Order: sequence, then C-alpha cells, then structure tokens
Amino acid sequence: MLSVNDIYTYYGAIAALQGVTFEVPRGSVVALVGANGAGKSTTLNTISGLVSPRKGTITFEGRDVTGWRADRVTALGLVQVPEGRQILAPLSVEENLLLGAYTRRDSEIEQDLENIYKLFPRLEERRNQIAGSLSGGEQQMLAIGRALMARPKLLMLDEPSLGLAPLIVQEVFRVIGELKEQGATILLVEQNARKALQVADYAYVLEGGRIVQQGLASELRSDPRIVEAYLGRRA
Amino acid sequence: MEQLPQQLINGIWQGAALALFAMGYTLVFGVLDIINLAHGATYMWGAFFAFVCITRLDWPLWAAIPAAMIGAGLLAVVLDRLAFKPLRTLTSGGLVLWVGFIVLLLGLIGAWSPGLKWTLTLSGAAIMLGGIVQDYAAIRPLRVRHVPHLAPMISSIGASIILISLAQGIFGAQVSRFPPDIFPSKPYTLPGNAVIAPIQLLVLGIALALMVVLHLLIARTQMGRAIRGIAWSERTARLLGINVDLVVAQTFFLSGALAGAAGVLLGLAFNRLDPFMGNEVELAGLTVIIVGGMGSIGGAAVAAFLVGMLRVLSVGYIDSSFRDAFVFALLILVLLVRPSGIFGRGSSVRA
Repeated sequence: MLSVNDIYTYYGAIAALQGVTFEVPRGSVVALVGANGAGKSTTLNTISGLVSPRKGTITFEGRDVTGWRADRVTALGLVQVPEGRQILAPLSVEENLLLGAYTRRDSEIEQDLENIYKLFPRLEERRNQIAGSLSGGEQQMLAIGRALMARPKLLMLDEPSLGLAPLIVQEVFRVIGELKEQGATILLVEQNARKALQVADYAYVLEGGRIVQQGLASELRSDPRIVEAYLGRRA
Repeated sequence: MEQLPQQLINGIWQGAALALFAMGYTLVFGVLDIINLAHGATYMWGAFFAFVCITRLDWPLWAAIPAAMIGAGLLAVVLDRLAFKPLRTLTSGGLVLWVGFIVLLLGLIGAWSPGLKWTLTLSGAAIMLGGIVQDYAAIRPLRVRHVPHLAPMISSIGASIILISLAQGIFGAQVSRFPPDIFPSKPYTLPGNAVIAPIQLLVLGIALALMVVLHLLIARTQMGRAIRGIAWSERTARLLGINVDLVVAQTFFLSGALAGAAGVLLGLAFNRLDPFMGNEVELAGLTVIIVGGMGSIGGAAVAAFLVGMLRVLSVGYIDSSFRDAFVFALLILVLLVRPSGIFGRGSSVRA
C-alpha cells in the first residue's frame, strides 16, 4: 500500500535519512523502532510531505507522492498523528475533531464523531472544553481521534506513548490493538520497542538514518541483538 | 450635559464602523502575525469602489455596498499575493519578486525625471516577472529561512503608498462626494432630544449584522476553524489536510471585505471620500486592536466602541483637535498597564 524506496532526507548538510526502504502492506501494522535521533520522525515527516527527500521515491496506492505538499498527502488518506500530539490548544475538543475531517465532503461526519466518542468516552465528556486544558493522555486520544476523523487509509503514529504514564500507555496501545482488529493499516513509530513489537506484524529497526534490521515482530521480539539493544534484559 | 445622549449615539455608530475596520485588521494579525499597514488603503478603496458603482455605473446603494466589499476583499487577496506571500514562503524567486516590487515602488512614487521613472518602474516589473519565472522554472525552489520581521511591514507600507497614489491618479486628491439624494436625510428624533440620521442607522445596522456574520463564520464553520487552526500552528494544520495558502487567502478576503464595508459606510455617513481617508482610521484602528488585545476579534469589537466613544466625547466636550491625543493617551495607558490588551491572548475568540 505504501512503499518507501531508498529515500535520503537532509537537514541542511546533515543527512538524517540515508537510503531508507520499507513497505507497509494493506491491513498490517508495521513498526519502525530505533533510538532517539535514528530518523524515525524524519521518515514520517518525509512521507507526510513536511520535508522533501533529496533522493528516492514514496509511492502510496500506486501513486508517486514524493515531494507532495503535506495537505495533499493527507487528503489522499495518508494521515499522520504527529509526535507531541500537536493538538490545536485554543480550539475545543470537538472543533479539533471536526477539523480532522477537513478533507471530507460526505454526510457521515457527524456519525464518525459519535464513533470517536464511543472509542474515547473521555473526549465526549470534554467535548466543549478547550483542547489545551486536557491531560497529556487525553490529548493523545484527541490527536488519534482527530486523525481517524479523516477516515485514513493508512494511519501513521509518531511516538504515541512518549511522555505518558504507564497506565495511559496501556490505554493507547489498547486503542491501537482495537484499530488493528478493525483492519486498519498502521505505521507505528516508537521508542518503546517492547510495546511496539507486541502490537506490530512486521518491524524495521532504524539506526543512524538506515534500516539495519527487519523481520516479523514476533521474531524480532526474541532476537538477542534486539533484546540487548532495545528491550533490555527483562525480555 | 444635555447633549450627552447625542454624543453617545454618535459614539455607538462610529464605534460600530470602526469595529468592522479593526476586526479585519486584527484577523490578519491573529493568523499571520503581521500588521498589514495597507489595511487603511483597502478601506479607502472600498469607499471608492462604491463611489464608482454609484456615480459611474448608476448602481443602487444596496448593490454598491456588497460590490465594494467584494472588491476590497479581492484587493486584499491580491495584496497578500504580491506583498506578503513572497515573504512567507520566501524562495529565491520570491526574494527576487520582492526586490522587483521595491524597485517598481521607487519608480512609481519617487520624484524622478520621466526617463528614470520609467526605467525604474519597468525594470522593477521585469525583475518581478523574473522572480515568478524563476520559481516556476526551478524544480525545488530554495527556501530562505528567517525572514526579518520588518519585511512584511515595509511591504505593506509600500503597497499602501501605491494604492493611495493610484486613487490620487484616478480620483484626484480633492474630496469626492456621493450624490446627496442617495439616501433619505430626514433624521429621527430619539428620547433625550438626540437625533440619528437614517444613514447612521444604516451604518449601525450593517456593522452589527456583519459582526454577527463574522462571529458565526469564525466560530461555527470549517473555514473559521481552519483559520484559527492556522493561527495556532501552520504545520499541524497542514497535517490535517488544510491548504494553508487557500485559508490565508480567505482570511485576507474577509479582512479586506470588512475594511471595504467600513470604508463605504463611513464614507457615506460623512459623505466625503479622499485618497488619504485611510490614514486617520488606521491610527484609530491600530489603537483599537492593541487595546483589544492583538489577534482578539471580540476584543477589537469592544475596544472599537470604547475608542469610538472616546473620540466623539473628546470632540464634543473638549476640542476636536484633542481627539487623537485622547486616543493615544488610551493607547499609552494600555501599553503601560496591560500590554497584552484588555482581552489579550487569554480570550477564547482569538483567531
């Protein structure tokens, strides 16, 4: 569904990505794991069109979207939940959700809004509150809910568990699992490799802007090198 | 004191018209963090658009007002494309476009010999064209980061000078007037021996209606949410699929249409138009948006009535030459005591 082919992205003279290649097949959950600064967010931002790759191609549903403007990429159904939630703080919870449906013109937006409220009852309780007043966990739910309002064909999640309390992290991954069961296609970027590898079907390990390893998530979970580097001794 | 009711009435309808001007002013600031110093010139052009519709095209007043608003709105969009947009996404071509614009401006307004004037003007236009071609020809135009904050201000001053010079060239520097029979002039008498002219009622009515429409547009529509979304974070807005350029154009259109409405209404009420009429309202408008809290639409509306009233009362009770002194005293007071304005930043209507 999405294929990223040998992309190189630079910030000034610094190469953040040096030939990243991977695939996200329809209906699967693919995880991109790696340490801080490995290029995970840059990869998502390059796909989203927030930065342009200097080399390489990005194809979504057979269409070359390399270097497209971010709003056009989103309009295609390739939707990112950015790192740090990035909710629109002065707008209400409901307004944030409605803006998620900005690219849609159909009549089922109200219906989807109710569905999001079913998935995240906390958001319904706070629908008229200013989004900036939500807790970190609630903001993450809002950011995911807002992306779902676009009816994404592929959902990209950038560090959804970052900075959240363990209980909230559980909740976030419960939702990701639920979306997976509903057949959603997800590209998940996480530093929390343990959690990511539990929910994902397939995973890539990113290091210094390159893919250094890949495989079924179930196999990577027990790979001694991965355990050593990303999961710690406990696994 | 017996003329107080009259003064209050004057303060209210003039404040309402000032509110239209100031809301458009603060709207653009809220979204783009720029002070559009050509807003006063847009206001003036709004008045002249209506003037042309009525005196040259023989349109009725009810058609001339919306036409003037649309005209001024489109003018503001063009202004954005030429004076601000090149600076926002400053590509190498955009920078060239801007330099060309400055050269063109120098040629148009400077007191040069005719030969030099045309050389400057034409080379400015040629440089601008070169800039446009450059951006379209380049595969990936080079982004210039950190555009100095003063650049959009200088741009808008330049645009303002061009717009005023154009009006001067077309309509002359003297005062133009609408035909006197355009609107009934017999004033209504109100309790307290105050009078209000039908035209003043019209100004008040249209201004209040437009304030409600603007509020609904900003608070209830997807366009309004997108405008507020961009004001908070352009990057996040893009990720939501919002075409930022389009929404910025919509913002400028709204802003210009409001300035145009204010221009027609005040032009009608005082029945005097001249190319420099924007200067005075720009100072008052600047005070209003600072007092109201930069970027706060509701704050601008309230502050406009405050400033309108202050101006009218200082004319009525002290001396008309002190009018601006009181406005500036208020401005200085607010800047000293509460620099974020009475309704600054915390306000929920911030756009």
